[in-house]
Amino acid sequence: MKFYILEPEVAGGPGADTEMDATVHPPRVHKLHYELDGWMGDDLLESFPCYIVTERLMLELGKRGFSGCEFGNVEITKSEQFADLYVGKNISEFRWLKVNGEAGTDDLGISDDNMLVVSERVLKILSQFQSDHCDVEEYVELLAASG
Amino acid sequence: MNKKRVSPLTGGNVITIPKNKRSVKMAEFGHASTANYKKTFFEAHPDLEGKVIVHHTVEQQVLTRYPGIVTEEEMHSLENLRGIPHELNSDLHLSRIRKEWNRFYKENQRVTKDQLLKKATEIDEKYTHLYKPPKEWKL
Repeated sequence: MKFYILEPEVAGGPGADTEMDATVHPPRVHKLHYELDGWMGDDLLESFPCYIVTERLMLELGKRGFSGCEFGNVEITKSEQFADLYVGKNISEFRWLKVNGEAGTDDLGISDDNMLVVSERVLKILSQFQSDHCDVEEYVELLAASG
Repeated sequence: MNKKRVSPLTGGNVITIPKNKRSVKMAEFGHASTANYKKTFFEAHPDLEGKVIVHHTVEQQVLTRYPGIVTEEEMHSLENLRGIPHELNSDLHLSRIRKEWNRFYKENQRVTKDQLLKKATEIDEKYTHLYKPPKEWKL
């Protein structure tokens, strides 16, 4: 099966209520508060090391039983810049997409260089949702030549 | 790992970035007397009020991600603020800038102030043609 590296839209960053241990890399996040600075509308968003998805995408991913992920709650707020960009813009309900799989093996995984790697079947689902600002590259794992 | 770019998932937007041979002046911090960064910016550029989105070239989340490296006074200083006109798809450009910073955070567990300013300068070089007022060029 083919795998792909995704770079989703980055719509903001960790808000003040985020509980994050930045002494390790990638940082360990215990509680996620995602503050939106602007949102172009994609259903999958990132702010390193976290991913969030709209509830409608979560439902679709959840019913397929993909390996390498689980879902959690996220607090969403809008920053001052968001308010300047979009007057009265409504935002969707979001969920925290916790990716814990192995890149190139599970349907969702994180590579050694902290990139999101998804299987072809996950990519197929994502492409049915808003994803104009998600960059995609093919993931090719080169096996080190032995002896 | 070999990476090969495929495509945005569903079309996407293409931003043309001019290939400038000149370099912009190195990004720097000053010292703000208030956290009200828009007030600071528009006091310096009153003609731009209501016409631009003001953003921090070194992002505010650096305060959370790398505590102790940049002070609030430096973060909100005029030297760290940029304006992008509303009519120039400011949300789209800001989205690209956020993605660049996100890559930086992935690659750097620890940073110095100089590394942050170097990254900000790289971003300024790509987007300075959009800024109002424009970033100064290096002489």
